[in-house]
Amino acid sequence: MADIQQKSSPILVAAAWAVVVLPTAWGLNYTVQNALKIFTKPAATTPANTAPQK
Amino acid sequence: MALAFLDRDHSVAHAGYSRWLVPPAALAIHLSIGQVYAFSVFKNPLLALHGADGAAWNLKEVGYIFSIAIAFLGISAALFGAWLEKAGPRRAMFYAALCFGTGFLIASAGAATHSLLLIYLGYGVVGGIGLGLGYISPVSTLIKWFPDRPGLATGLAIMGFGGGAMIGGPLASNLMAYFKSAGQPSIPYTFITMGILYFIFMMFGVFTIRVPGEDWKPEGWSGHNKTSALISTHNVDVSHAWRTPQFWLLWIILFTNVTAGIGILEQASPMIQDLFKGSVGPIAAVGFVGLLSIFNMAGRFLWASVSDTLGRKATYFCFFTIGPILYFLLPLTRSDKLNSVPFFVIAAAVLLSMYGGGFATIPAYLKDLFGGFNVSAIHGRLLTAWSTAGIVGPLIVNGILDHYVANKMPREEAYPLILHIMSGLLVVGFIANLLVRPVNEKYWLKDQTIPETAGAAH
Repeated sequence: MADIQQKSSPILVAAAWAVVVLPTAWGLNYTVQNALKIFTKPAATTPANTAPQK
Repeated sequence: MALAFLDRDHSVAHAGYSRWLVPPAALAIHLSIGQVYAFSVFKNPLLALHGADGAAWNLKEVGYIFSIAIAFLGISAALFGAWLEKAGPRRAMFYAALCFGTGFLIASAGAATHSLLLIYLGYGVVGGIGLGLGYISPVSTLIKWFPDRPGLATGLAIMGFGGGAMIGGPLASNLMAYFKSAGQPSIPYTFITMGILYFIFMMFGVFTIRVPGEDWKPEGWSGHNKTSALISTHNVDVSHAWRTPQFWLLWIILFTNVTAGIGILEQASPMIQDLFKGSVGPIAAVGFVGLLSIFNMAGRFLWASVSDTLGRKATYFCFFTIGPILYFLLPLTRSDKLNSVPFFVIAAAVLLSMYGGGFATIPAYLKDLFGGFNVSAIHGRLLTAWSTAGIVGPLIVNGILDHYVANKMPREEAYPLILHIMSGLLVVGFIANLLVRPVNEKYWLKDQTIPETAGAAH
């Protein structure tokens, strides 16, 4: 069984995982960047006329 | 026939096919359909659309799109589960891709013509059927490829559903921004692009999925896992399974766990802002929602994997003991009491990990109790608990919040009541889990020649 199991190329297996891992890593990075904002304290007093528009 | 490659016979793995090619196939489906969790990114752009007569949609009308999709997820999973067992995972995954992709295209026409009914039909009904088919299609196949680690295998796939929003959210935002800057109708073009991209991505799963040969078993595996009274060596047919008390106890377990999770998910952003006024702003709240989605995803894999060694009942025992305590303590973290944002965030993250873990561990729990023979079909029927929770959870949360707002009471005073109700619901789940016993032998399939690792037609 061990010999038979090795017939799928490891490169093929790695490529298949890359297809799903790469978009997930992109999304994870995007989400983590946003999530880190929760630990950033908002400015205590910000003059209204200098506040960012968005 | 042109679609003959979808037949079960054409998807039997050749000798030597690595089982590690199967989780990426399942993930391709679940990462795609998990986009539904990111539907909220379309809410404001849809609200900003105007018809030829200047009419616009309201929040409630737009909110129904997601609700219809989730309702059809549960309905189609329940209806097509038994069919999937016969047709095989490849055909089911193909129809899932077709429905999910086509749903976007129909919704695109709806957005272009300002027809909400078309969006309901496209993203809600057709796309929702794609969600249900896609959700259950790889589950029993994964269990058959990983009979030694069923929790890990299903956790991997269902983790994808939790993680789908992390791809779908930024993808939609970036596409809408791109089409808007190019002077094109942003929502219709985004829907078309996403429909095509998701169809192609899901087709990778369709082509990669294989079912194991009849005599296949993992190298070095004896054919038996850790024995326990709750791990049956017998199979139960779907038509009998749903008549057992165990099915309904698991239904209650899933329902209470999901409803409680929705208690946080539904109001995550406003809740943290209301409880920590002045210290948590809208941007940080978006970060909080992102953090919850990461824990929701990670919990699916981690808890389901842990359940392979801990046991399914013990895993849910953890959910239903830690969960009620954390839900009870959560309101105490607010600014006028402990004033601890880290405590609130950590507790909510752990709760969401258990919400995801509950989803991911249930297929293996079903497999333990009812055997692998009809596990997809039984799982499909059990997912009606999710649809029900999807209606009941928001009803509880929004009903209480509306009551407080209508009576001019502060919104933040509503959260302790909501969170304590969720705590109580988890106690109900705890009792249901405690009552789970092995399935009575009168429900067992008489034909015990059916191998444990093979399905009805797999």
